[in-house]
Amino acid sequence: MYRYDEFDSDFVRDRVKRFRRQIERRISGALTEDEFKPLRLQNGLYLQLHAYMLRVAVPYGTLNGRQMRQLAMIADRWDRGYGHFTTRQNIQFNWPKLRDTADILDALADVEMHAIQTSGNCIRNVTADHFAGAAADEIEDPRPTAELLRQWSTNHPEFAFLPRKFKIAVTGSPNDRAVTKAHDIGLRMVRDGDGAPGYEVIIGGGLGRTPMVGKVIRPFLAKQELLAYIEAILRVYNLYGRRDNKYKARIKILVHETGLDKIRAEVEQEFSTIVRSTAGSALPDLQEIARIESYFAPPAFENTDGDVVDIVGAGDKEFLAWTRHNLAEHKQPGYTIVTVSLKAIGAIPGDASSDQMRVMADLAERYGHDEIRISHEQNVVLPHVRKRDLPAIFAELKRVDLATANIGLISDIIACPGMDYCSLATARSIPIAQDIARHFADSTYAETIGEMKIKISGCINACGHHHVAHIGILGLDRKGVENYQITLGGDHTENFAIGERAGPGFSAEEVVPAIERLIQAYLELREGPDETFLTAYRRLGQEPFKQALFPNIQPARAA
Amino acid sequence: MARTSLQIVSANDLLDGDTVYWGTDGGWTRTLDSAVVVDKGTAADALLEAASVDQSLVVGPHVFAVDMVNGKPVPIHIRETLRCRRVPSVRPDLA
Ligand code: SF4
Repeated sequence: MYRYDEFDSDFVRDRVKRFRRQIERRISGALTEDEFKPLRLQNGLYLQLHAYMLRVAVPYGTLNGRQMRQLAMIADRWDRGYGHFTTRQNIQFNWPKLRDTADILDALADVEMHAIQTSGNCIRNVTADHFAGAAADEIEDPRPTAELLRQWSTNHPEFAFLPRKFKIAVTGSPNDRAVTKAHDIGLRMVRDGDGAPGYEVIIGGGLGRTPMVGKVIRPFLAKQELLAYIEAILRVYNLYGRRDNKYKARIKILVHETGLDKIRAEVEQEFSTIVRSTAGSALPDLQEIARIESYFAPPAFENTDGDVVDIVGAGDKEFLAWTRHNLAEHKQPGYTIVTVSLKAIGAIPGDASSDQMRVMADLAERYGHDEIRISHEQNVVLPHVRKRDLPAIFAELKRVDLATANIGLISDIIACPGMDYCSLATARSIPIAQDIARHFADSTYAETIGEMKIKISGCINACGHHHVAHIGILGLDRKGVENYQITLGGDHTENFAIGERAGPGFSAEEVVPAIERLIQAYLELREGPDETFLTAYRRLGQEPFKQALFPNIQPARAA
Repeated sequence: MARTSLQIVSANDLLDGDTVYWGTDGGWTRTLDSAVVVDKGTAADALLEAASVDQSLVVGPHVFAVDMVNGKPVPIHIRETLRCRRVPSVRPDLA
């Protein structure tokens, strides 16, 4: 994985030093909150409902054992023994004290981590496919691209005050696990006619108040043209993006209001100007790309083979269920990708205790070439594991309640922190996720239902990605009481779709019965066990599902 | 939601972010029962102004609506109900 050079390291330390002084000045009264707030946000420190929250960047979701262990140490020493992994592949600490935050940032810097650009109207932490470098379907590892973008965007003076925050996601596989069409810029690795890898560039996607599907602005961009092209997009956005209205300031609105063709023409023109005016020096030279790529070289895989079942025999049903659901195909024979579920039945999606973090760190070091990934679905991935080590890994995970065999099933729910933590929330998300997971706890029932993605957001900002869920749940405030709106048919993959609202909202108690009715309708309507909920929904349309949700709907209550 | 005309002033503590209320002794308190309860309108505006003079100890002073139940203030809106619990509803073990 990428190692900071001296410049990176000095830069991060210097930022911590400055922030330490700013904290002291806030506490002494020399700075008002209005003066201090932008400074703390630039260092990832938010104020939530009950306490401060520190958002720590996990660039493209990649960590090693030492870093994970340090997160556990921070959780124990300065927080309350746990952390929360987010849909942005970051980790949030929920209870840091103001005075301690500089020490926490120093402890992060010790393991080459920081909280920079996790807030504010800048280019945020670049996200990537969590199976990067391991997936069998991959064209190229997307992380060198993400790292190049990280280095280029870190403290970029021209783009520190954009009209609004800016999020970039990269996938190296045709199977889009990075939700590229819901980002300001999405990059999908593709090959040109000669087989050379490059990018399909997508812009203007986003969730939130106004969900938009990203549009292809450039079907193929050569690798070395990347920075100049991204810079051109950012310049056009910086110039024309609206600054008068927060809700209209994202690039998705600019693209929508101006039209893709016009934006494309502007971007292409800016791109040629950049290339011409810098005589090509704005392009990273190939040597630099190769240098970064060398940090992401695949680990030394051994020549091994063996099927999981061969290794353990047919004995352990629980283990076999876990291998059915929590493994993904690795590009190296004999290896597999393990997804560790942070969704034990009734647990808080994305939360991990310090003990659990330490176990995952140990397993990565012992069995996984010291690599860990955080997925946007709030799980943890061990990307390079020998199949024959699976029984040992499973046993260890089970010891700390991390062996739930539910990846991709109905209880593998994304839930944002919602009103249990977040000051922007209009309703709670976590208890709804817990109720649903408990209701569908029976593994045979969950397996019968098959692939199902439920995603819950506690407000219209959509951090819980509810728009792209098969069943999306949005928590709203109806006169001071929580109310939940259901959307159907969303999809975060390469077949990207934004879910459609199914009708009026439900009270918290009504949500689980409503989901149960939806599932029953699906089971009755599907053509067979191979037809997933999403496929059935696409075939049948919303009507039968709407009827299941609102069996006694009165005309007056209709949406 | 019940109608009410009563409000109290609340904020987050500067050092740890915990919920605090403007108390009857003219300073910030962590006990809801010790909060000053006033009528919405002029009285609440004045109280908020008084509480906001010195913001060196807290962040984000604001008013919220309460009902009086058995002589004690009870928040009406779910957001303030949750804030007053000091810990997330899903982690009562942290209280
Ligand atoms: S969706 Fe809303 S409630 Fe949930 S974390 Fe984002 S801002 Fe907070």
